[in-house]
Amino acid sequence: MDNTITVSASPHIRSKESVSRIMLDVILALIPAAIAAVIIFGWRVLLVIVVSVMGAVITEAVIQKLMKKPITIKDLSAVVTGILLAYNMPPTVPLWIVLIGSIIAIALVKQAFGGLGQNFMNPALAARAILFAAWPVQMTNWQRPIIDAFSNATSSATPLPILKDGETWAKLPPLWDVFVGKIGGSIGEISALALLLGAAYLLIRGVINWRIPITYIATVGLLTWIFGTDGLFTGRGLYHIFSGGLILGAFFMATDYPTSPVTPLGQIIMGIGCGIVTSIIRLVGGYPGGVSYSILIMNVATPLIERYTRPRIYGEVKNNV
Amino acid sequence: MKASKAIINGIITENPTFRLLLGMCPTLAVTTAAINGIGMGLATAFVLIASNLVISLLKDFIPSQVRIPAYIVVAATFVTMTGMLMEAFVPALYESLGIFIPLIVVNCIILGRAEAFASKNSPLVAIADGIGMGLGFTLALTLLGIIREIFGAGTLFGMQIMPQAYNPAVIMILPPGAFLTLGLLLGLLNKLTAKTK
Amino acid sequence: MSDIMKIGFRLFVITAIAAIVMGLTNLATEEPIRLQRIKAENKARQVALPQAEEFGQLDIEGGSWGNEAVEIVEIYTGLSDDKVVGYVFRVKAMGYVGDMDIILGINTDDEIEAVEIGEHSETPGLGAKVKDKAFLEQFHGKGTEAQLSAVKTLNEDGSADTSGSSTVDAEGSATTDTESSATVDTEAGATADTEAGATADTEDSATTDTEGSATTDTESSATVDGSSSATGGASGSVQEIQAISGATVTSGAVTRAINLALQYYNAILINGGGN
Repeated sequence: MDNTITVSASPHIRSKESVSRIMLDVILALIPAAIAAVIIFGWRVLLVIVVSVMGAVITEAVIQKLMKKPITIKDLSAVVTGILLAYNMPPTVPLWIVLIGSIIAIALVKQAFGGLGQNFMNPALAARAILFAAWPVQMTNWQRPIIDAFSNATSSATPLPILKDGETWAKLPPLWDVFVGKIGGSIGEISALALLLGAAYLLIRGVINWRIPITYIATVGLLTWIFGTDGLFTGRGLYHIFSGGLILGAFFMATDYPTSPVTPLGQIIMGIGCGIVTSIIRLVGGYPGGVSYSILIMNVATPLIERYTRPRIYGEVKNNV
Repeated sequence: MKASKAIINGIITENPTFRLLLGMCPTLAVTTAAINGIGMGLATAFVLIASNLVISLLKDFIPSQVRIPAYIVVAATFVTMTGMLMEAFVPALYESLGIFIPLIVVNCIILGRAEAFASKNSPLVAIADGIGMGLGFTLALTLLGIIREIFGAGTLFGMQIMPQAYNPAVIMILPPGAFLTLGLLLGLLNKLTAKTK
Repeated sequence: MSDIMKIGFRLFVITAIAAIVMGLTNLATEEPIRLQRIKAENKARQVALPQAEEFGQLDIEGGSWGNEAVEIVEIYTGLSDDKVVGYVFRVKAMGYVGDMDIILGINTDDEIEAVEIGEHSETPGLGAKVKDKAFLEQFHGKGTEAQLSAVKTLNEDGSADTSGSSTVDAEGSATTDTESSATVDTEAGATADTEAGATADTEDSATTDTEGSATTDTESSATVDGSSSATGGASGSVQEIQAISGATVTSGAVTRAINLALQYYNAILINGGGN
């Protein structure tokens, strides 16, 4: 993600950066969250992840075969979509819903628009939104963390609905529990700690840059702190940052290459935009969490953002179209 | 153009929903169940036939400068009459379609056919066009309604047809389901017709 | 100029004819439509109170009853052979999406006869399920002396957020605090189970608990605890309605509307005070 272009004579060093290499990095970065999920919810989440990944990969292969296109499942992008989809599911989700979701993600959102790089929305998030509207009961059936099953300290209620309903703050789990993930929630979103480990790896490897995630998280933290339920500057910004899918969404989904702007300014606009939409949904909307919808909305706005932040070609005259 | 050809034209070649993409508002809004699709389609067909006939008869009387207001008045008259007659004599149907009936006035199929067809053709052919377009619209709406009802509620015309174990996908009878179904159907039809060419 | 006159005249002729045609249609359909509307309204009331053949509208005591979220719209006495056989309430309540029209019949044995949902805009497949028989039939035969409360069904842990608040709301004003504490109890899982064994028995006859499983029992016990401490154990019969899974807000709104009607009935109509 260097912004300078070195002009030099041959021989040129070929970058080892390829789609499969980037995807492998993303998969590695997602592993800590999977380990955390297994510790917190039990082995079933692994089954959910496997079904989701298998569904995504097989769907991709079948569709490419049917459309007589080269089969590209080796680039691992379908695997990443499968993992991200599973991470957005509640741990108790029926497996048939997972399977339908992975088929929707690949067939409807990715391949129907031309495959890798052509999709206008994040496939995993779009599939999750469709599933959420189709089977709302099954998609919000949160499970209590098993590591706390024998004490009654932690409720299965996710922190966000509590944050919304200012009167029941006494029920809020301690911030540390929220940070490490000893709370209810979707499979991959609960442990901010594990996600941040993976995110740090991606940042160091240069797979993603800081612009979208940091501006996104900062905007949510700031806005939820300013517009608290008890008046200005009383909100619990830190809770908002570490609960719900914010960390997962900011680092792993809002940064998706085909659906986020390539220009530096555009990326900052994307991050702030996601933050504003998420905060609005969380503070005044009908749903407790708004990460997936905010990223989907900004996905759709991406072409527009790129159009207005595109650097002018040297010597080009600004034309008044 | 012959009358029989005008009917076929409306149902298949220039199907208002799948080919001309006219009248999308009722298409998306009412097709939550098969019966609603039929009801809306037939009500529109009635207004379309009547307005096509009247406009074709009046084509030399209506001054071209004010033809659009004149068409709207004709369509609105028939829509109002349909609404009143339905409420008086078939209240059950009126109850399920009530709020959509006034919308027929602004359905672009009515105005589109008046402008593009009825005002240029003889009354008989204009009626045939109304029948063809009306039936084409009804069939398209019913098809959408059938698909959405089966997947979204597990029923067809109100009867349970999916096994009890089936968990209806609520999204299909919500607005996004209308867009998804229409988009997939359009893609499928384009694919099928592209092959035959 | 004459061109404009001609155009104007022709447009006038078209609109005049249209007006005449519509006027004639109106003349022909006015009476049938009026009869249809009366019939439709009477039919809805008759579903709520089948014993009655005629209905007479009552004035609402004090002009209005309720608040913005839930309000009594109309009250009718149900008559059969000129004898009062019950009352029908039409209550407007704010559901999850928008206002809902709830029609409720109470017979002279101080029992709820039936509940019907009129116009509503709840989500199909979720909130719209309040129109399902399985939900509405729960109200049949419930006494009017105690308030109803909507409880969560099994496997509904996830929406603790919505149901928590809706349960609180459903209780109306009297027992808000105790109800919210009851919800906390149910979350505690293992500990609540023991209470269930101890206290649930007394309540089982009054509840519509068909699930009969552990989780449901904890719910009922928790609610019983809450109510008995609130009412000082006087009558103590809080009556439970199984909320529709995934649509606890809508279920709560229906319950709230019915409770408002019950309050009105208990305050004003119960001893024939209406007329």
